[in-house]
Amino acid sequence: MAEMEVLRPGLFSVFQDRGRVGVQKYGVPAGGAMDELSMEAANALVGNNRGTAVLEMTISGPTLQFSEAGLIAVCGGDFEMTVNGKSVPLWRPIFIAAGTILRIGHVHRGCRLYLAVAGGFQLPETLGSASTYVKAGFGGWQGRPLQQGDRIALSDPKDCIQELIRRRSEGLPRETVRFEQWGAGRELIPRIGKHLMIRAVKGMEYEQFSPEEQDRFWSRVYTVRPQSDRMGVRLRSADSVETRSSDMVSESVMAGTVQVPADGQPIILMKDCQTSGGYPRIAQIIAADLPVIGQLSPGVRISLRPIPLEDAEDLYILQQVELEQFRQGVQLRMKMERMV
Amino acid sequence: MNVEPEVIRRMNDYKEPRFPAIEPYGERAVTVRWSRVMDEGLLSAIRALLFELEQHPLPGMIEAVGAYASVTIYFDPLRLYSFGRAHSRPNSPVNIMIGLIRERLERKRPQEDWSKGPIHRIPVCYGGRWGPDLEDVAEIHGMHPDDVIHMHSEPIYDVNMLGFAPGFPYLGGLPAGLETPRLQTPRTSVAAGSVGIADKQTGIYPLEIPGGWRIIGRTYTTLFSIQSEPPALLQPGDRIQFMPISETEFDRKRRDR
Repeated sequence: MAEMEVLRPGLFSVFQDRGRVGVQKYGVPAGGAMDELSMEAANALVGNNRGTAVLEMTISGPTLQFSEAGLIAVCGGDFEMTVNGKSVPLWRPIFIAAGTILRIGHVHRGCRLYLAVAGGFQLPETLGSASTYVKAGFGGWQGRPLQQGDRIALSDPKDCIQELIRRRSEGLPRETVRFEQWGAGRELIPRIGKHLMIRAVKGMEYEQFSPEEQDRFWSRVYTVRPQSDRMGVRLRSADSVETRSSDMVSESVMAGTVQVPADGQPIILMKDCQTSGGYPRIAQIIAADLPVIGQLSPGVRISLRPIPLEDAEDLYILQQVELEQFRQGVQLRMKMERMV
Repeated sequence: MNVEPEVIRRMNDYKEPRFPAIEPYGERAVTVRWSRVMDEGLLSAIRALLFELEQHPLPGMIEAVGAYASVTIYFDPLRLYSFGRAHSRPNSPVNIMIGLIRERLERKRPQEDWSKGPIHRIPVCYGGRWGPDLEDVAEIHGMHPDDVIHMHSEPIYDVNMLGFAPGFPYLGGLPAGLETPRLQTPRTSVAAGSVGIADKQTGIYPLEIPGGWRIIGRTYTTLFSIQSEPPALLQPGDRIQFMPISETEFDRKRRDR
């Protein structure tokens, strides 16, 4: 059976999918890929269904060996990557021979990278998802990040993809690799850089902040702190956000919520955040920009800009439509390749 | 049948709280909020809405999550968008959802008191190796450890909401005399089943996780398991009473399980 062996685990490599649905009422974090768009682009490029579990790699990636010929795609931040020692581009379908070694190096820009394999990884579902929740030790691969020596079985790709792999890797010598000249377009590649503008709508407790503080909040430049992780992206600014002590009771919270704790340094809650929180929520990152948050690395500066909720809704729907069009484009392309 | 008088009493006592605010929470959720402060009188309205939505989910709804004074409804904007087009509600997904929730709240008003959920009796071995902070808690309040045990196991606690960790209950009703600050330095690992106090709250650790609560005892009751359906033992509105048990009994029960 085809499998992937971990030769070197990387800093923090965990399996993620779209996360858990309908379990926040039990206090279970939703989880899921920090940058869902890159995950879905990678899945599309190997012909997987939406939401198939991928490997999420952070800051410094692993070295992996594949036992059989196959099709993979790697999408996300700007990382060093070689296949059998050769530099290979991200955002492309990559046909690999049996015994191929994929080495992911250090990140240049961005924070996370996603590996999809055609057919997907064979992982048990926990509460309806293969997402790893490290804090509670469940989901993904044994509830933990990858370790050296782990061997993860791969599922067989769909027949049409298998046919394509057979054709492409036929006669492919052991130490080589073949990648397509086409891949994901700009609309799916997350914005990464040193200073980013992120769009947000007013948060649940926005009105509790003074009008002066509301203005200051949108004009500050925030720096991403190193303590950021899958639970939240922690921000720092020269002057802290002026928050009034309020006796608000805890409410349900979710990824993208910008909350202001007593120290006035905002936190953007992310996928592994607790299901409830009691700090004032000044803003909500728009759903279409959430993948950008998943790519923020320590030291990056961001500015937040308010937009109307209706615009945020349109942007999210548009993004989902673009993703679906891309998926269909890839399917058509692969169909054509099988015919020639 | 001694059930009927209870039902009648419930209906007579029941006062419907005022109509809640329904606010968008980003593009993918809406919060129904009765109050911004703690109000035990709201538990009934919250549980009634959660039950109603569980039985008859709204279109595009993912789940409804209860909190102290609110219910947050998560949904898929794409499904709401399609629903809006199909039912000539040409509007934003959030506005469609707000409309659906308002209609539901107006149409189905709870006619009885939902505030009293089932009581779970949780056996706890207090002190000793299972409750390493019991002596400290007693000392802080100038009490004998037995008095702490008595005070802690006397009330019936309300499960106000789940959060902090999978299956973790926020319990209301800790006697004021037991309010104790958290540990200065949190433990890197607290065992599952640990019963603790932190400031005005008491709770039970469902999983082994780090934490700064003062641990006064341990239960063998499983609060959260990924193998169970549902995975959490408790839900908002349920009630808890702690039953002190001896170390011998605790050890025997734990072995048997």
